[in-house]
Amino acid sequence: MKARLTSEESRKLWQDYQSGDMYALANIMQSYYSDLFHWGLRLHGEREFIKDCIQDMFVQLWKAQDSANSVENVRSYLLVMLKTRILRELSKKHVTHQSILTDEYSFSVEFAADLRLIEEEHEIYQIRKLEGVLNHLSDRQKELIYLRFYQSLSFEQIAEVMYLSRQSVYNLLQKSLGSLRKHYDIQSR
Amino acid sequence: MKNYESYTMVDFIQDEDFRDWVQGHKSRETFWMAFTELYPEKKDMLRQAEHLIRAAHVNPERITEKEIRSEVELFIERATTGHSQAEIIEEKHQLEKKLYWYNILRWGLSAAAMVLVAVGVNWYLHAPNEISPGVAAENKVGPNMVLTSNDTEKPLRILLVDSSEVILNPKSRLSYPAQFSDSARVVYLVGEASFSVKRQGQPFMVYTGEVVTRVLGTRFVIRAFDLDKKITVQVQTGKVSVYVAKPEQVPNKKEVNGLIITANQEAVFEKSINQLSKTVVANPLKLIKEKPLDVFKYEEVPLPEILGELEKTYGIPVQFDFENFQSCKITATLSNESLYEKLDVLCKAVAASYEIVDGQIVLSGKGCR
Repeated sequence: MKARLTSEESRKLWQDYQSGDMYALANIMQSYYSDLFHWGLRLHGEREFIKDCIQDMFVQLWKAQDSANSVENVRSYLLVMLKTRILRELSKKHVTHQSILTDEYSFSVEFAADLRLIEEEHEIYQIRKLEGVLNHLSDRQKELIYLRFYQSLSFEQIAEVMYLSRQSVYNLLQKSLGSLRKHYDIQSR
Repeated sequence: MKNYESYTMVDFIQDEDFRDWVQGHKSRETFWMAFTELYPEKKDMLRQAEHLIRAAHVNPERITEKEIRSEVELFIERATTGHSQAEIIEEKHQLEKKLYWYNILRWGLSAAAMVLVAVGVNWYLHAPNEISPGVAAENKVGPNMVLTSNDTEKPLRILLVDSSEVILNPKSRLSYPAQFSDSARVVYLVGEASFSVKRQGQPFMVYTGEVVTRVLGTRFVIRAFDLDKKITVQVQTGKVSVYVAKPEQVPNKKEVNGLIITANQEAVFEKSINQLSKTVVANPLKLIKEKPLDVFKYEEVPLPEILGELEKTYGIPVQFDFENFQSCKITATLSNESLYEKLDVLCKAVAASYEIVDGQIVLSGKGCR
């Protein structure tokens, strides 16, 4: 994986974008593209549709450049924006789709254990078992785990992206660890 | 300092350092290696947290740098032109074609790059100030591209990462990658600039609108002029190759239609008819400077011998019928005249004429009997 922008670098780019530098926004798009694309596909599996959503989102950001907010964390801000756009577009496409503020949206991810440098049979067995449990968690629980480990968000940012309070995120995590504990001896404290 | 003694599973999950270490990003390697010795009671929890992070790994999606680049370029085009959705789809299609062509071009060129012998290279490029917006968008932007515009009145010096030097003239723009790729060094120019190219394995290429110039040889000067209809590339010494980068003509073979331009030749690209042709520069310069005296005194010298010397001096092939002109003996003194003036003198002496065909001088006449 290539190095991600540090949050200082992305904040600087964001400020440049706010003061009218289109290339700064293009640079942000370039840097976050693969992560945004990955995130989008978790919400809806159509590649071209997700590309269009990302494209429209950045064009929208550029058009609204005058009124752009200062942003604490560029990554989580973009993830929220993209998610909202995708869910809105989907609800337009399929009348049957639930309103975006319900937690009914689907989230599909396939956890695939990283077994590099693990040699012991016993350890491999345990990690595989955990992988199986993770893949059977609810969509919201998977989303949380994914946002923490794949997108490297803090709990605060996860709350923002999942439209939840920080406390709810914490509860959801405890619940997930509870499920893991049933199948695997995970200590909670 | 974190309070690791009271660390819970949730704390481990939240800890950036720890996650980075498990995911192999190596931060604070020694600390986490020694952790279980420092906090033996946390050993199991540490292992479990590590297992959880490993189990939660997700494979990245397959998306190429090229796809991302084309999306970013599309964004820039939309942001700058404000075009509608329908237009964008068509433009996107065109863009993909262009990128396809661009990649074929790069493939072909890097394959040919083995023979590169560039030393220190000076050239001039003077391209049209206005090129079509599509080409401009493709040329100016890309991944990690740096765009430098010279809005001042004076030439601006730019040092590229490979230590090549560019003097960018006023009202000109140069864009180039912050880091050159392994296969080629590609820069995009609108306006006028002179280059001193550092010798290196990868070829150095300059994109100017529809024309691509690639450095093959040693020392040369390139000029492209006539702001509207023509782009021309002139070579003083050494070799460059010139290509047309026209997206509509994507060839299905790897061969690239281009010209090799050597000393005192020039390539002319007629934009209206999309044609690239080769001719001789308006004022050919002598290649060989080490002659003590620039005066050539000839007494009863066969014409072919003189023509051979001119060919060597200016590096321009001279074609003629050897049999015909072998018997023509010339007595003349040639010094500071231009190549064309010399040719005029010689032709007059033997009642011949010359024309320039495909970058060469062709002499014809009845000869001397």
